[in-house]
Amino acid sequence: MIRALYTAASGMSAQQTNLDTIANNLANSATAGFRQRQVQFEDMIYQNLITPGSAQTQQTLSAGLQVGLGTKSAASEVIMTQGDFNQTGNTLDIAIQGAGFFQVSKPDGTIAYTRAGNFHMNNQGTIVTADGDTILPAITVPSNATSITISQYGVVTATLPGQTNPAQLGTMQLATFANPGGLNSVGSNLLEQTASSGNPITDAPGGTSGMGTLQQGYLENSNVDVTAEFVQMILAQRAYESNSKVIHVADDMYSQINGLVR
Amino acid sequence: MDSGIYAAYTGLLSRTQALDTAANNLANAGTAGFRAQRDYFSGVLAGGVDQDPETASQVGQSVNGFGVLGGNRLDLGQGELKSTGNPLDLALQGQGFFAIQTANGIRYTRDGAFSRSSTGVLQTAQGEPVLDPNQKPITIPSGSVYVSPDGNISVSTVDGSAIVGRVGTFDFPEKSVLTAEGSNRFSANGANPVPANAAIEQGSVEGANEDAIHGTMQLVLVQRQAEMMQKALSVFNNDFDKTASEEIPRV
Repeated sequence: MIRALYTAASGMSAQQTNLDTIANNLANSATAGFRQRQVQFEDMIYQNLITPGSAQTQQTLSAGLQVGLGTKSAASEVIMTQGDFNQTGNTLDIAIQGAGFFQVSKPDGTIAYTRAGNFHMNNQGTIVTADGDTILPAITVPSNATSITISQYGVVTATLPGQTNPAQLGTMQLATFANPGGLNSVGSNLLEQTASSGNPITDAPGGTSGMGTLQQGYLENSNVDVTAEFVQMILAQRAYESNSKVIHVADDMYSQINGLVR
Repeated sequence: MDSGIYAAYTGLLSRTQALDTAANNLANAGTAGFRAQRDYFSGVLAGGVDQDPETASQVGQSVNGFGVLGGNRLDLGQGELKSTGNPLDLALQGQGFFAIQTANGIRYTRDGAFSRSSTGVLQTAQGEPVLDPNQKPITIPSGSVYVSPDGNISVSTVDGSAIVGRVGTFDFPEKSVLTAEGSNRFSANGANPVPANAAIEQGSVEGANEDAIHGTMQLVLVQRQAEMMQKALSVFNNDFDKTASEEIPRV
């Protein structure tokens, strides 16, 4: 009975983690390039009260008596599906259609990865994220450029006054991973490489290594499906409720047994 | 005397054990690929002379027959499929298991929330390789992955598409060899699997096969049965014994 109490508590705590993740997904449903997470659960160890196949009296038991000790949250997987495109008309809003991440040079010199393509120019004319971190390879736009064009293969060109041919400023590069689900979220729309994600494979957009292509003037929304998250929320709530019922019943049975002695 | 008090006691004890199982089933209602456990009760006969069915009296059998928790078995019914949109999430439809290579040997699971490792090997959430029909790990090159219902994995890149491997599905003619190990895994205790004829659904994960209605019903049942046993116990405890110790001497 004490087992049942702890088991139900493990179920409640797992559903709480589930609800925390759903809340974060919903809170970020309007964050550009956000990738939703999903909690995976697994069952805890089992107590073998009777081992299957053991001989009891004359017959061999065909099934044993195993009591499981509850559930636990195993992982929260990043779901890497494509988000919707939102046309902004902004020259430096870039969406990735397909696989790949932009590479961002953080102030401490390490490289992070992002799908959020809401870029800006800093006071030097370098293309940076909304937080001011440089996009790699760094591309600097001359201050007198009248328009910037980014092709779907990542070639950045600018029209300069007095010149008929646009000047080529550089080519954007994307990075992919063997296991993008293993990237570490560090906030500010950034992801970092881990041992489980593997090393980045960098290539120009639309390259032979399966990289996606770029769309200028568009932003990729989050891939959070609000309806599906609400369904998950209802399920989490009900599962939490049924686990609390177990605690109630266990408590009730316990008090009945205590009531045997007057 | 009073052998009935032991019958009521074992009945109450087995109900508390049954509550543990019901609690575990409900706690894991959100666990992918979880298989619920179902208890069964069995009767045992206690008492020396009455055990031989040739000589046992009907009265002795009914008085000394105790209901105990005989064991539990895995409910291998299908769980509902949840669509996730992740191309490496695989769900099994029908009887069977995926095989995974763990540190303790090959284990079986129905939790198909797989991913690719940093070296491209198909793995579980714990990083254990998923095995093909020949029980070897599967390496998937980068590209968009398509998994057919029979388990063949094809990867398409700009250079074209090719079949790169096959996910193995395994089954056991004798289901009782399987024991739950936790972490969504089952051990076959050395039994040899046969190929399963389960279909693989890509982009979905199979949920637990325990539903809240069944779980709650089980809870109510266990609670009420425990209440009956408690009533029976208190009859022995308070009424009979009290009569024997207080009322009879007075006469």
